Amino acid sequence: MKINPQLKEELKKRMQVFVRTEKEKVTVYSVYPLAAGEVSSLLAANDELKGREYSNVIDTSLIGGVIIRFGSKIIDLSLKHLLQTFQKTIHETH
Amino acid sequence: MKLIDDYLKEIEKDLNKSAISVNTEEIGFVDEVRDGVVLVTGLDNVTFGEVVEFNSGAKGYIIDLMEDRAGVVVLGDYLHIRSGERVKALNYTLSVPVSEEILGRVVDPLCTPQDNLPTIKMDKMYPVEKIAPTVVYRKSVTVPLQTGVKAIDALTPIGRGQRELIIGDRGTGKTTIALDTIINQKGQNVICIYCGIGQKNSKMALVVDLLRRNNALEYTVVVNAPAADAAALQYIAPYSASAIAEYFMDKGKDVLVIYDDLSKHAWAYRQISLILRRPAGREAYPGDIFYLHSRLLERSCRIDEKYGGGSITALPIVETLEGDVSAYIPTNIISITDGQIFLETDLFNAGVRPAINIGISVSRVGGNAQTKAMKQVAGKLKLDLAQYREMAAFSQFESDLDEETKKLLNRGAKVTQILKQDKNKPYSLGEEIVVLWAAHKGFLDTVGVNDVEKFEKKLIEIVRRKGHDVTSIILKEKIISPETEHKLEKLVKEVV
Repeated sequence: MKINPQLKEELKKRMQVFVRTEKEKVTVYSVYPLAAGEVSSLLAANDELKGREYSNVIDTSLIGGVIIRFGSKIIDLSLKHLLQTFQKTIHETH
Repeated sequence: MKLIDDYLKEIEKDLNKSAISVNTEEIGFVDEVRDGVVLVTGLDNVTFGEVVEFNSGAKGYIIDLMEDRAGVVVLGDYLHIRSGERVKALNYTLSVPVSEEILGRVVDPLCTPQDNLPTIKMDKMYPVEKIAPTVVYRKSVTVPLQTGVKAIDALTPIGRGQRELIIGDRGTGKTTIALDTIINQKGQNVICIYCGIGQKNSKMALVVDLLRRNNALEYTVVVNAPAADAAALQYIAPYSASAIAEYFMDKGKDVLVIYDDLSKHAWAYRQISLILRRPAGREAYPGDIFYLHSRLLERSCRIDEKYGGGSITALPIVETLEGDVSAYIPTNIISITDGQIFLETDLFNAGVRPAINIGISVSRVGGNAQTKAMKQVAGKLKLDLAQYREMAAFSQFESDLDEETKKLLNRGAKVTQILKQDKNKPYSLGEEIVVLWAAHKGFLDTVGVNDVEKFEKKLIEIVRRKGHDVTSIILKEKIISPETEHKLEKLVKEVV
């Protein structure tokens, strides 16, 4: 399948605009829906995130804890991540 | 002995520490997987050369930064990487772990052992890419590095901190010269690094075996990125070898690095560049192919004693096709290095081994490092050979030659004979000087061309048996005095 180059260029521009707006968004991943107060107190701990708008996404594979994502940055506070790090430590010291 | 209470206290202290540390990570997602190169979206805040880790465990490092994407070369196996996979930036530039323990080992470009021996304990991390020391820290080359090959030590001498290119077609003995040099460094307080780039693994096994048999492995590190490895590993191999060399140089030691060979290194880089769609130039090499080698070879230098001393001598190897030195990569590296040793197939097949073409081999800085005694004997030798070559060319047409010309031809033939040398049998400086002195004084003029080898063998035997005091005097005085000449004459006359 060949894509029209002009169309490709247009799509790329749209994509970049989309990415830029996406960067401003904060996404909080958690195992169960979080109350508004819970999330804002969580975001208040980080100067960069204080008072920003957010969306809450449910991801049960985290087992516990939360992941905060903004732009290309991520703060991983999930149980899954902790277990993975633990596994790695054991593997490396073995 | 610790009491149980002490242990309990320690455990309590550990428990009181906050177990979770909050840190922000930079992530991206795999967009495209090409041959050994991966394009990643996201990773907005990474730097050039930063190491990233894929979710599947592989590591890579950033070699290209575009508007919306980053190009990552994968170090190792890239077959498990899927598009859409998460990539994490690790916040450090590519470095290799180094320590004294690395001596005598065979490692890959990331310093992971390849020889089934225990892991190497790390002392420091050294960056793979580093800017070479500036003028202030440098010192000119004055200390010789003896290769143990008569022809090189006499005619194209190498000094510690020099970069001397070994160039020639396949099968002309390039690696042999490099390995002989490593073997000859025994007891010379020089650390050697042999970096194989894109070589056959069978050849590397032979190299390691040869070094081990000659007890040279104990002061040598072998960095191996064989032809089967990913282009990325072949690309970083010489820089890793350089990083290991810098670790020892920073300790004030003299290091010898052999890059075998840089034409294959250029091929690996060309592959990566073409996959990244960088504009191709001459012979399809990218525009920065010169900088690729100049930044590598600039890292060899001699550091002033004020700043800790130490040196890195580089012997890069380049393979030519059909003796064509005017190809792109050979001309580039010839212009970067401080001279070249040119090996020729015709000479090799004619039995002149090492097959060095003395006419076009040069050493631009090594002369200052040559010992005075060697200079005394080598100066005349060079002249004899130059005249011989000139005469030999047109004496083929003329039948009757005058005495003077005949004498020149005879001398030249004998000198060419005496510069031949068996492989893996390096000579000590004293032995070299005695042999060349005999040729220089005309003791070989009466010996038949085919008997020169026998003469040399006998002379070496006598020197090893009872010439020890003479050679030690030469090495001590660094010059051949008339009294020493008298003693040498006595030794040589025993053979004649």
